Amino acid sequence: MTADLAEQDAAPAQERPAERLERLLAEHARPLERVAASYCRTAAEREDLLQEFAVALWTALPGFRGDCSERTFVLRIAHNRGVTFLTKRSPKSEAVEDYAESAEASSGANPAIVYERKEHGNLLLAATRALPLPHRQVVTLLLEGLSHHEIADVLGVTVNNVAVRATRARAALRVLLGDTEQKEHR
Amino acid sequence: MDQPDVELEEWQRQWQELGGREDLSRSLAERVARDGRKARRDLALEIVAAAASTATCVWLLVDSRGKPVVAVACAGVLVFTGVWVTKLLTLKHGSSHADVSGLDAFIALTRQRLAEEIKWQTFRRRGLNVMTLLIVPWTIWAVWQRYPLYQSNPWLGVAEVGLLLGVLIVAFTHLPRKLRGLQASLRRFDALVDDRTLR
Repeated sequence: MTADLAEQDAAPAQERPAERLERLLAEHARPLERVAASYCRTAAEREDLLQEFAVALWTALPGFRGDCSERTFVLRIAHNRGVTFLTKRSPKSEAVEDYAESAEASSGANPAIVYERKEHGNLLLAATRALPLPHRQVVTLLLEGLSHHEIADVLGVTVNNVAVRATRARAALRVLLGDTEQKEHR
Repeated sequence: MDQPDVELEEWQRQWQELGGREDLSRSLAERVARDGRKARRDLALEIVAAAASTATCVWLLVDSRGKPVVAVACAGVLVFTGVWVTKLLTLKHGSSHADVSGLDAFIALTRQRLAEEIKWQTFRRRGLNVMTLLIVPWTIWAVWQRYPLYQSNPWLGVAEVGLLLGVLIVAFTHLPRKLRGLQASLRRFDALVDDRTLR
């Protein structure tokens, strides 16, 4: 947290909005790519979502008063947009998601993950995507290296809530990764 | 001293290797600039359209010296424009605040935005019904009045009545579809966030 605020203090004071946006996008492009990947399976959807992140960032920048670090601000916008994106998605896409989650709930093993792995996807990313949304959000932020306090700040929930969700999400991720690896080796 | 969380560190290492597409930030900034220009153009067009319709109504009212038919039609258009401008400003205000908020505020603002959109579409739908109730008898009356002209020039009748029918058909097809889409979005959003563990 202290490091983040120091990083924010180091941000140039008299930046023009367009320059600021370019700097933020350059500094946070990789985390944004990963957040987009945690919400969407296809490349086309990720492209759309990344564009929505960028537009939302541009719209929200004038309202940013520095009450949190820039990283927290960027990730908060990205996750808020991610939720809206899932709302707008077609019912067909939702059905795939439901299938993955119900498979996980019923057996612990997730065929969707095995499928994605065979399609040369990243195992950790596939497992993360199979988590229910509240757990997925916490896990992706943990994986970005945010503390529980920062995650609470991004999601607007209490630190205790983050801790509970993080414990459950990590347990689910462990099961998903373990089961999938065993299934692949069989 | 805390023990290092080996499992999490390993996952973080794997996770942070993902991404890193070249030129992504520059292409995003370019797309934002393009979208920004388009959004400003759209907003300008909406403002110009609202101003033009208001000015036309005022001119018609003055020119007709307050004829009842013109006054009623202009009142309808002015109410529609007023609601449209209010909706435009409300949505702009809501959407600029939604993104910077935490999850609870974001959920509330998104719900509010979708509810506002649904209200607006419902209002348009009802407005269309009222307009149709007025337009249909007026069209019959106008066709009756211009019947000799249409007899000598049938294509004029086909064009005028056809245009009006076309506009009504498009409006009656488009508006319910838009309303259904918004209602489905609100339902999906509610289902997505109606999870106790989310907050």
